[in-house]
This record gives sequence, structure tokens and C-alpha cells, in this order.
Amino acid sequence: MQTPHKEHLYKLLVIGDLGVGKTSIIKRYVHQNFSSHYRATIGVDFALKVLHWDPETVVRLQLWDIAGQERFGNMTRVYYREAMGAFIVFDVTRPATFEAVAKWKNDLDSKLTLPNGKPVSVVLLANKCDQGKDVLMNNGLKMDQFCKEHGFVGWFETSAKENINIDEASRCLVKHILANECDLLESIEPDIVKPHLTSPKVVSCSGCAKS
Amino acid sequence: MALYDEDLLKNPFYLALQKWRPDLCSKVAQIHGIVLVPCRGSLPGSVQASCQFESYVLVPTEGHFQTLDGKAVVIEGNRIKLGAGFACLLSVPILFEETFYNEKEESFSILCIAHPLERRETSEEPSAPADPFSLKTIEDVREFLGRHSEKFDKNIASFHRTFRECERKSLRHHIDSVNALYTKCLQQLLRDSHLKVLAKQEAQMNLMKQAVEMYVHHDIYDLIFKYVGTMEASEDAAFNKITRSLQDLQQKDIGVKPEFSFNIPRAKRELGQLNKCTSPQQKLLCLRKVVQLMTQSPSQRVNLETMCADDLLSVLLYLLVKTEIPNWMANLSYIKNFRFSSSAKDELGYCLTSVEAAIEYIRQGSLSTKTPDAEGFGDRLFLKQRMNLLSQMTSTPIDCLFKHIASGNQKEVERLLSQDDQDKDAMQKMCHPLCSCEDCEKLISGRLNDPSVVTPFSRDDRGQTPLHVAALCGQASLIDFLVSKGAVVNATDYHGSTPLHLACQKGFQSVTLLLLHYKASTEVQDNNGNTPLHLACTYGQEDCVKALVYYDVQACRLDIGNEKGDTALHIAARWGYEGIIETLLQNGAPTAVQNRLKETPLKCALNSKILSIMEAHHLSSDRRPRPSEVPAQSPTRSVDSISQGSSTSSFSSISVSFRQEEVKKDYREVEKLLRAVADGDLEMVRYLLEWTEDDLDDVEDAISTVDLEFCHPLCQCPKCAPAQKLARISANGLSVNVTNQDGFSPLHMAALHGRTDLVPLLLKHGAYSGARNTSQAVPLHLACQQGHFQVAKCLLDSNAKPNKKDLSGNTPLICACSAGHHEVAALLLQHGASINACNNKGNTALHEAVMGRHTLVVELLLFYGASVDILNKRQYTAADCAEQDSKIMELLQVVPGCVASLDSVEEADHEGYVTVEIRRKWNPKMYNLPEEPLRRQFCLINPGGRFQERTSRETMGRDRSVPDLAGRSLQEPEKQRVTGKQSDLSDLSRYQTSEEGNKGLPERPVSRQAAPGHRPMVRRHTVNDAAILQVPEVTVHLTTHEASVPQS
Repeated sequence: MQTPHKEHLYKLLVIGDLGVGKTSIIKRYVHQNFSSHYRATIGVDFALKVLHWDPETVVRLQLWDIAGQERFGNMTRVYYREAMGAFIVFDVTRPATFEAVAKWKNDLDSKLTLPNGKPVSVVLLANKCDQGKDVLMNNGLKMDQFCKEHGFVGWFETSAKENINIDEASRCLVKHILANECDLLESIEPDIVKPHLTSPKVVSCSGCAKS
Repeated sequence: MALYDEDLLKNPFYLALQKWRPDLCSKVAQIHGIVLVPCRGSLPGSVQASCQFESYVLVPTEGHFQTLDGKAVVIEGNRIKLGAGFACLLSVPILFEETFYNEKEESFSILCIAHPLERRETSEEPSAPADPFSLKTIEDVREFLGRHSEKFDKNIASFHRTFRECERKSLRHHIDSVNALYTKCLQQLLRDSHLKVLAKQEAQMNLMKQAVEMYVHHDIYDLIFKYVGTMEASEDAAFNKITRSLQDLQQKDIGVKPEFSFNIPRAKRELGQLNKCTSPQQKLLCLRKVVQLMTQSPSQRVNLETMCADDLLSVLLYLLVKTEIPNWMANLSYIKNFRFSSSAKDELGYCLTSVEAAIEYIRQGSLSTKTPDAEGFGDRLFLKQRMNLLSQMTSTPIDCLFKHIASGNQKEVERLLSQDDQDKDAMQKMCHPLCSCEDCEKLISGRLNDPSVVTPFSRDDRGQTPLHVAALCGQASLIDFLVSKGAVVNATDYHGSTPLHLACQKGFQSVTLLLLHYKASTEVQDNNGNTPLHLACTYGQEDCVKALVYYDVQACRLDIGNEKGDTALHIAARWGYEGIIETLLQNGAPTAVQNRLKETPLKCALNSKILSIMEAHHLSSDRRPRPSEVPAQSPTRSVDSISQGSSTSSFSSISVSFRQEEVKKDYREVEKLLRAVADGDLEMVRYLLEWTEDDLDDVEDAISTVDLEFCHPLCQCPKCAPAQKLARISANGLSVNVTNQDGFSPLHMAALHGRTDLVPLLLKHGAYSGARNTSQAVPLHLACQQGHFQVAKCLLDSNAKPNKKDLSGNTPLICACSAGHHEVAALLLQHGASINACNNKGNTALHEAVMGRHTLVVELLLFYGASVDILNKRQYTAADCAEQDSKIMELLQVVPGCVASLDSVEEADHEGYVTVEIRRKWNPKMYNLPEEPLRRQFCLINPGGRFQERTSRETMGRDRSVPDLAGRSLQEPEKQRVTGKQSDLSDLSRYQTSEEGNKGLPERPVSRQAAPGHRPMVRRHTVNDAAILQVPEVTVHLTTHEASVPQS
């Protein structure tokens, strides 16, 4: 029994405004390379990353690279279906992309919840930190607060170019998803309707009355 | 080029000969003569009886031949030369020779010749030996070169050797090195003084060049062409994608003149030979042959002059698209770069340039941008509109609707489709719903008879619904609208295509995803057996392939074969789409499936690049076998038959989605059950498992109530209700051994949460105490971990095995000890838990107890004789794990007096069986120990426990995978029987060894003190009893397991 026994398959979304580097992050994470060649994603692109989480667990991550313009289209509800977690990405050098983060998060939470009704785990990625290192350094506390307010499980300064923090961010997200899944198993849905077998109202039928 | 061959027995000339002149046939056999048979292609439609058959029968006379009518014939090499007596002294090539025997065992030969000896219509035939200065086949070349070729072979061999080393170098490098080889060979040829003289004539020189080139290329073709194929891999893939998308192209679309269309099939066949040619020269000859074939005409009305370059180009375009050659770019590059002998000026050069121009034209997408209308929708509409204009009629409403859909005019579509709703409004305007006054009548009849009303179910003359058209034209926004109007997602048109097929073919990713979102089936096969995935692969639509695969990995089957048995991977490999292949492989597409031609996808690989990707995966996939290895069983074919219209199609879509939902619902039910068990909600559990009240007391009684007649079929009175429920069990009752995705059965849940009341009930209803969850834990593990004494007792009393190991190798005892539940630990030890068993880290229960600082447990374990000397994987003993100066340390040090080293026990434990030899060795030592019986028990029980565990793990290993393996369940009983047998055997042998081991011991009175652990040992003394006791137990496991298979 040498082979791993648990295999999880998780669908992760990567969302954020146009040009914040979603595709680059995935390229770096999955294929270990980076290209400054920029090509806008159309619709959605997919990638698969296999993590050997621990000796007994293999986690297969389906990364859904969703085009930045998609929020305005009607497709996000289709993309979001049954995702277990998400990265929301913004570009530290462009403040506007950070402002969009909250919108993305709202969009996500409004269209997607876990089976137990909780929102999915989302990690915030401050990408291109190689280009604007000092922007966030001073604002760490504020970022923590922002994350708490908006329900992110964490945030990371990342760089697809320099390969900074991408593995860490993903590990953080997967950890939360695994924990969530345990919760799901244990948690008790409050809205179960229990049939009352021994209800006081005894139904009698005409057939019984006769005999 | 392949040698010419045909079935002579079907040759019209030969048949005519047999029919009209049987006398000649017998004669030729008598004299062992030769019959000349013109090849089939050279013969006119029917052979006349008037034909001079005598001229075709040759009689051997010394040195030459004579025909039966006395004309002279000479056979020279591969040619027949006609001599005196013939009208024209032709020389006719011999194609092949066959020897025939008649019924009298007399033999005669038949020579198949290129054309009849006497041509009545010589003027019409274009001169057959067209170009005297070219060699056509490699055989020609061999003959031409003769002994010189031997010298070349050496050069070529050395080239083969050096090629391996520089495989990764640039194209230029290879061109140069091949050219060098060619030059060298030619040089050698010209050293021959005789040839040197000949070479002064230009024609001869050309011939020599050609011969050398063809010879050299033929021998290194595999190397070079493979290399070029790899270089051009991505270009080929891109080109294929374009040509695949043009498959609907019609001849008139690209302006092929009707007079040429006659020749196209023949030209296509000829072109199909391209990849069999082994040198640039031959490939060019093949191309020229194609061009020649196209310009020929049977009626000779059209000849080469009338075919201008434009005509040729359009025909070539058509051929390029329609001939299934997947490596045009490689061929082109090969011909252009590796052709040394002739310049681009000759006729061959003209052919090459034409083909190149055609390829470039397609590559630039000129054809695709010009013709989307032709293949798509607009053109048809346009035509129809024109026709309608001519006939002064308005276009039919359905066409109108489709036109609006095609152009994405949402407003107009909405308006047309909501007419139906307006009519509903009209209904409300009626006096009352059943009113039949004149006004109301009008309203109703207007609604029913208005032909202009269109619905989402309307179909056009291709059987396509509005949803098809929206998918075909990529109108994602309309998909939403149409589905909301009730359009049938899985409707099929005349070709069996669903909207998903069309979207995948055209590469509209968002439409594909939307359709999937609306539960479009990915398994529907069209009339060619293609699923949407096949089409996306054929047309190189990587986006759609990914969307299909990633949208739901479980639902998308990658192993379906189409009509030819090709899986999606076969197709992608054949056309060389790298990205698609990677996606498919990553998601577990099987590489071993064979198509109808017995080819695996690996065999179909277009070039070495593709092959290496697939091979790399093929090797790595051996490590992780996927469940869906079973090949290509085509699922339910598309259900929808068009003639029955939309009503049936809506059924089909419902049934598909229903099935999916059922599976999901099942899981939800299981989760509900488990939650109820966790809560200890007895009522809920009973409801879900559908146990009746009486059930609790007596199962037999409850079943007998089934025979009761109900008051009425649906009666729910107190008397009938239980029986009603019982009768329903088979329908949708959950099995008591049902598991969730993590392998938790209700018994697991009850054990985990210490539901003392539920455990006995579950066990009584057949819950399997040896069930394992995904981490291989049996319920006993969970109970021990949590310290639920009563539950553990209950489980052990119902024969739960105390020594099973979970995924990390923990026995229930280790679980209990590491959690510090000493009562549970004592209970386990009383039930024969093996005390020194260690987990995957090498820790024994004692290690764990020490590390957990559970003093009581440590004391207990030592009291039961746990060994303190066992090393774990980090080479620590239990004492090494203890804190200094703690009570535990003290305990560990105080007891050693009575605990002697038990290395051999441990060894035996590791081995999994006990040999008599080892036992003999340490038996005397044990004899001196105070707690001897206890100790003996350990060493006897340990191996037993291991055996038990091993066999049962084997059987249970499959149990885990049961939900995925409905297909395999058929084989299951077979396998189980085998493992069952094995376990019987091993049980027996175990008892034999243990008995032998005991023989060495003198009988000792059993002390009361050791009683707790003693019971199992007593049982083991009597071999037969034990074996009998054990065997039924094993079978019980198996039967319960078997029973659970069909349910899951």
C-alpha cells in the first residue's frame, strides 16, 4: 500500500481585473516559467496542478483562469460553479485594480457558497510586488484589516516574475479548503426537516375501522 | 511508389479470354506458355470477342517468343519488344508476373503488361512513357545504379551513425549534411570511367543525379522526415486546424469548374500516396501525377492548355482540404529543403510552386475568411432569401427567427418567441375559459391556426432547433434566453449533433460552458459516433476541449470511441494538437485503448514530438492507474430521433439530468444518515434505513408482515404503515453498510460519536464491523481513539478484530493508548489485542502512551508485559521517549526486572509469520519467565492478527473503490473467492505452525492472574476447532461485502 490513499480534486478560481497577472501566476505555478509576453485571456483557461500534500494525500488543483473582463459578462456564474476556493489578484502598481477587489469578492460571494452556506476560502494576492515593493510594506496592518473585513482568509505579496510567495499562497488556500472540508463533514445542517414518525395525530382509515 | 498490382482473375481481358477462347487457355497450359494480359486500367470498358487473343499467347522458341499467330516477341528485362508481324514495333512495360495452374496441374505464366499490344485509338492516348528522363520508383533506381549502390550503402551507414549525435542541431545543419552525403555519393559514381563519358550528355547526367538522390534519400528517409516532422509540428497542427474547419467545403465554393470534378477522386487517391514516397523527388513526381490526372479528361475535350493556373489552384485547394494528409507543412519543407538535383524551373518545380501557393493560401486563412458563410449559416439564408424574393414570398417565420439568432439580434428573437406568451394573454381576454361566443372563438382559432408562431422547439430543414443555431453561431447571450424559454439542451439534428457538438466544433468556449451549465450531455454521439469531445479534438479547439474536460472531470468520459473506435486522444494525436493532448493526458485519458485498426493513440502520433509527450505520460501513468481503464463502450446513443419531434427530445434531456441528480441525491441521503447517527437520532436513523418498529424486537416478525394485506394500497394506518415501509425497502432504502465519500459507514459514525444505543442496533441489522473508511480505520479504531468503552466492548463482543491497522499502521490499541484511554486499552488487551504491534513510525502502544504521558496506560501495558526494548523507526525505545525523572521513567525502569528482551517476538511480528525454528530458539528462555503463558499468547496471537489483517485488507481494499467501479462489480465475486481461499489456507498453515511451536512446551497450569489474555490462546490450542471457527467468519465477511456491492 505505497500509493497515496486520499485524492482530493479542488476547483480553484483565479480572478481579478484585466492585466493584473492572473495567467502569469498560473504559468509560474504550474509550468514554472514566466513570460512578459502579454496576451489577454479570452473566456477562461484551465490548468492542472498536482500537489503531494503529505505522504497520504494528493491534491489535484484545477485552476480556472478567468478573463479579467468577465465580470461584465454573464458568464461568471457558470465559471464559479462548485469551486472550492479562489485567488483574487490585484496589481500593486495600479490602485484601481485594488479597488476592484471588493467588487470581485462580492460577485463571488453572491454567486457561490459552499454546500453548508459558508463563503468559499479566498486568498488575496498582491501581484507584481517586484515592481512596487514599498507600496504595501507600510500598509501590512491595513491589509490585514481589509482581509478581515472582506472575509479573505489571507493575503500575500506575490510576483510571478520573481516567483515570490506563489507556492505559499496556494498552500495557505489549500490548507483552508482542507479544513473547510473537514468542517463540512462534521457540521450539521440546521435546516433538516425531520419527519415525525410518532406524531400524535393517528391516521385511521376506513378499512381499519371495519375490522 | 508501390508496385502495381491487380487481381488477374478479375481482369476483364483475362475473363474475356476464358469466356471466348477456352481452347487457347488449355493450349497455353499444355505448352507452358505465357499469356499477356493488359492491365485493367488500360482496357476499354468491355473486351470484344473480336479481339485478337492469339497475339497475346506467347510460345517459347529458342531465345525469344512467338505469338500463336506467328508474330515475333522479345522479352528484355522489364519490357516486351514487339517484333516482326506487329503493326507498330512498340515496347511495352511488364508490370508483374504470376504463375497459374490449371486443374491438370499444368502451369502457365501470365504477364501483366501496361497496355494492349495493338492500340486502335493510339491518337487519343497521351504518350504513356511521358518523361524518358525520370526514374519513378526506387526499384528503377536500384536497377539503374546496379553495383554502384553498394558503395553508397557505406556512406549512408556512417551518416546514420553521425545523425544520432547531432539530432538536436538546426535544419540548416541537416540540409548541409545530407547534401554532403549526396555529393559524396555522386562523386563516387562519377569515378567510374564509363559513366564519366556518359555524364557528358546532360540528360544522362540528370538521370544519374536523380538516381543518386533518390537512393540516398530512400535510405535516410525515416531519419530526416521524422526530424522535419518534429520541426514543423506546431505548423502542421495549425494548418490541420484550419483544414479540419473547412471540411464542409464544397467544390463550387472555391470555384472548381465542373469539368474537373470528374478527375478529383482519382487525383485524391493519387495524392493519398504522398506519404509513402521516400524522397523529395518521388513526392514531387506524385504531385505531378496528381496535376496530370486533374488535367486529363476521359473525353479529351479539356486538355492541359485549357486549364489555367487559377483552375489548377482551386482544384489543389480542394484536394488539400479533403485529402487527409496531416503533415503538409512537413512535406513541403522536406521537398523544398532536401531536393538537390533539379532546379525549380522544370515542370516538377511548377507543381511544387502551385502546391506551395495553395498551402500558403489556406494558411493565411483566406479560404476561411472568405467562406464562413458558405459553411455556416448565412449563406444558406442568403440563398433562401434570394429565392424567396424571386418567388415573391415572405421568408418563413422559422428562417426569420434563425436569421435573427445567427446575427445575434436578441430583441428580435425575444419578440418572436414571446408571441406565444401574448397568445396566453389573449386567452385571458376571453369571456370565460370555455366560452364559445364568436369573439372568443376567433381568438382561439387565431391562436391555434397561426402558422407564424415559432417556438424554441421549431426545427428547420436540417432538423436544427434555435438552440443549435445559437450554438453554431456562438451567440452565448441567446443560449440563456432560449433555455429559459424551454429549449431542449440535448436536442439532436439530422446528423445526430446536439448544440454542444456544434459549439465544440466551432470552438465557442463560452457557449460550450453555458450548455454544460444547463446540463448538456457530453456523451451523446452523433451519426459518426463522435462525442462533442471528439469534434473539439478533430477541429483543434483547445479551449473547448479544456472546457469539456475541466467542467466536470467525473462526468466527461475520455474513453468513448467513435465509429472508427478512435478515442479523443487518437484524434488529437493524429492531427498533432499538442495542447489538447496534454490536457487529455493530465486528466487521465487512457493511452492503451485500441481503435478498430488496432492502433493505440501512441501509434497514431503524428510526429516524434507528440509521441514523446504521450510516452512520457504513458510511463508515469503506470504509477497511478485511473479507474476508467475499461475501453470504449459506447454509452446510450443519442436518444432523440428527429422524426418524433421535440417532445421526445425533451424526454431524453430530462432522463439524463435525472440520472445525474439521482447520484447526487444518494450522497446527500448518506450524509443525512451519517449526521443522524452522529446525533444519536434513533428515529431519524430508523426512518432513513427504513427499519420498522417491530424490527427492533424481531426481524423475522417484521418481514412476515409483508404478507399482510393492506387496507388499501396506500394505507398509512398504524397497522399497515410498517409493512408499507418494509415493502419499500428494496426501492430506495439505504443499506446499513452505505458509506460516504470518505468511506464512513453509519457504524463508523456511531463509534466515533459513542452512540452506545445505536451500535448494537446497527450491528444487529448487519452493519459490518470490519468496514474501513478511506484512512483504513475500522469502527473500533474510532471508538478506541475517542475512548468510548461501551462501544468498543460492543464491537469486540460482536467479533470485531482487535488488531487491524489503519493507514498509519495504528492498531485500535495504539489509538487507545496514545489517547490515554486505559479502560479501553485494558478491554482490548483482554480481547487479545497484540501488545507489541507497531505502527508505520515503528511506535508500539507503549511508545505512544509514554509520549502522551499517560501514566495509567503505561502501567497497564507494562503489567500486560509490553516490551520496553522495541526500537521505533528513529531508533528510540519507549524509555528514550520518556521525560527524565518522571513517574513514567520510574515505571519503565522498575519493571524491566520482569520484562526480558523479546526481540524475537518483535522479529516474528515483523515477518508476519512464525517459523518453528525461531520458536524453538526462544522457548526455553520464556520457560523461566513468571508470566510465561501470557507471553506465549502474545507470540502466537501476533502472527495470527497479522494474517487476519492482511487478508481482510485485501478484500476490503476493493470495498473502498466500489462507488467508482460499478463496471467492475461483475468480476468482484470471482476475486473474492480467490482471496477467501487464500485466507483459508493461510489460516490453516498458521495453526499448524503454532501447534508445532507449542509442542516444545511442557503443559503448565494457567495462573488466574494471566487470565485476561488467556482465552484466545485456549482456543488456539485446538487446531480444528479454531479453523472451523475462523473459516465461517471469513465467509461471512465476504458475503456481507458482496451484498454491499450491487447496492452501491
